[in-house]
Amino acid sequence: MALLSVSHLSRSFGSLLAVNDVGFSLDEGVMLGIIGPNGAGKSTLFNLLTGMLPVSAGAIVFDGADITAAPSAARAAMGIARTFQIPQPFATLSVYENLLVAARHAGRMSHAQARDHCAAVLGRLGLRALADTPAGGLRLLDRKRLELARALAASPRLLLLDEIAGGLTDSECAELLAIIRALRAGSVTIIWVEHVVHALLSAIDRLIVMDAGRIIADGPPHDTFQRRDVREIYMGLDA
Amino acid sequence: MTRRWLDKQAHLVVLAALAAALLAAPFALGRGDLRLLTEMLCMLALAQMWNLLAGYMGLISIGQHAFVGFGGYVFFALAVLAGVPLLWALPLVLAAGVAVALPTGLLAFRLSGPYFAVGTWVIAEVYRLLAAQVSSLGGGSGISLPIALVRDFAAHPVLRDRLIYWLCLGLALIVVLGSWWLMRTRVGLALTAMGDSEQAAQSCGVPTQRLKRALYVVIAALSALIGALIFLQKLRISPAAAFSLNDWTITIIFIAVLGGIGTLEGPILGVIVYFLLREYFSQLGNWYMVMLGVVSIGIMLFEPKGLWGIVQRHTRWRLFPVRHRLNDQAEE
Ligand SMILES: Nc1ncnc2c1ncn2[C@@H]1O[C@H](COP(=O)(O)OP(=O)(O)O)[C@@H](O)[C@H]1O
Ligand SMILES: [Mg+2]
Repeated sequence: MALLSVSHLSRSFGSLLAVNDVGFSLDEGVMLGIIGPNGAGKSTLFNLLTGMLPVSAGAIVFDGADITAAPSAARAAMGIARTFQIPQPFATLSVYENLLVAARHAGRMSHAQARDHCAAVLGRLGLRALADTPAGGLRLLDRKRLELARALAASPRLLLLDEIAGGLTDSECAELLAIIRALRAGSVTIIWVEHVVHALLSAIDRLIVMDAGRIIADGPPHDTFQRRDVREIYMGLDA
Repeated sequence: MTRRWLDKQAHLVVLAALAAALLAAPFALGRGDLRLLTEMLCMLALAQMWNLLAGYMGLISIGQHAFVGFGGYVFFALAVLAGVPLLWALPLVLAAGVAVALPTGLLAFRLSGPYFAVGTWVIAEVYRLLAAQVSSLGGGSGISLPIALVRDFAAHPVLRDRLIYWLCLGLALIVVLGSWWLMRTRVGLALTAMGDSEQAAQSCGVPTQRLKRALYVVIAALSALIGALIFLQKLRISPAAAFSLNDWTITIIFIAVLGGIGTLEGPILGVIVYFLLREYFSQLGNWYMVMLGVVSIGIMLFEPKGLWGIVQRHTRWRLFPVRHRLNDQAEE
């Protein structure tokens, strides 16, 4: 059975259809990449999946339960975690406390469990030394790492990454890629939205291409990316 | 080792000494000073609660006087209309506070941001107007507590002042220590997170709306109880005094901002400095108000973390440590 299935999902802002009749389903353990030009509706799709925006139409089923109308916090507790395209650290908390929030709430861990788990996640992401520093003062790469670390602190089953590599240098990007690849060793299912296509293609099992709110292609990464219509959209970016 | 232990536990020593001094204060202070201290404790409790609402949850309420006034009026109504002994009336006021906060919150929470602020103020105005309509409670000019009930509560005025003081002290301790306890739990972590990014907090599983509503109701009920105690001390209530925007909201906000919002120590520092300012400068009349205005604008512009923020630039010492640390185990 699919972990996530989305059918006829739409969201409009006034007359703009930001997400237009989107449907797909995703098996456990798969890493799905989503690409598409700016304004294609990728972040809006994440906002719908996590309940930060109500849907205009359609249904979202997660692990057999219809969560279309469930509040954000409840979805987080069911195992859906996300990062934000523009990092949203809890600036007055320390890096470690940022993770604690997710582990203690969405992850439902006891304090002792949370402590060990967060320490392990911080170690994995190379943030251990920064654990007790305020999250407000981090540089961009560390803020991106923190986004990822906080999402992982909840021990999610489905992880949504929104342009986590955006704005990073090539070497920083490679570093982050290695971390995300390593996640695949665990059983976490990932949807990764990215603008930096080369980073994405090497890591994912499946690619969805969005344009103007619609899914225009869905399939194996390299074949899908080579499709004519997809290349046309990416001409300006990738040629 | 001993030195280190003292450093770690200094805040507990200071708190215990402070609590002991406050408990014993009635035996050392004259009536006037004791009444002043009672007032300070009430203002401290209100400021600490406003700080939780606004400083942590971003709920800028400018209508907390609704609950202070409501509590005062319910207390007087129970005494005057039903003859309920004053001590018994207090828990009933708490219950009434919950009962009125539920629908009030339902209304106020339909609004957000500046509309929430204005909404809470309008609601408080409506309560004041309603209170002035109750002719059995003196209408617009107000009413006094029945002498017999006051004598039952405490035979002698000195004893009465002491009892009221200890009740207010107890309530202030519950609010301050309760806030400290709360901020050390996972709920406190969530409250701080919400203040930074509500969306991110939700994505971390924090039911932000539910938390806001729950805390709003608890704070409203405790504010009502404080209202009852304030007007028990005054022995007289009127709509203008009970629902005073100036006394129970503006002053409270001033105290919280002065001391530093978003910290537990801020309101304590704020209340002390505010009463010092008031004692020494209030005879200046209008200029005193101008001075308070200038001070608060100055703080907001140059020291948004208030006086406690200035203190924290020089020492990491906290009276109420709440942080969770990973690498320095000893600091837990
Ligand atoms: N809250 C919002 N209100 C109005 N329009 C929005 C909102 N969020 C997104 N949009 C619009 O929806 C479209 C899709 O945006 P978005 O999902 O952020 O695209 P992407 O993440 O693919 O770049 C854009 O045209 C954007 O301007
Ligand atoms: Mg986006």
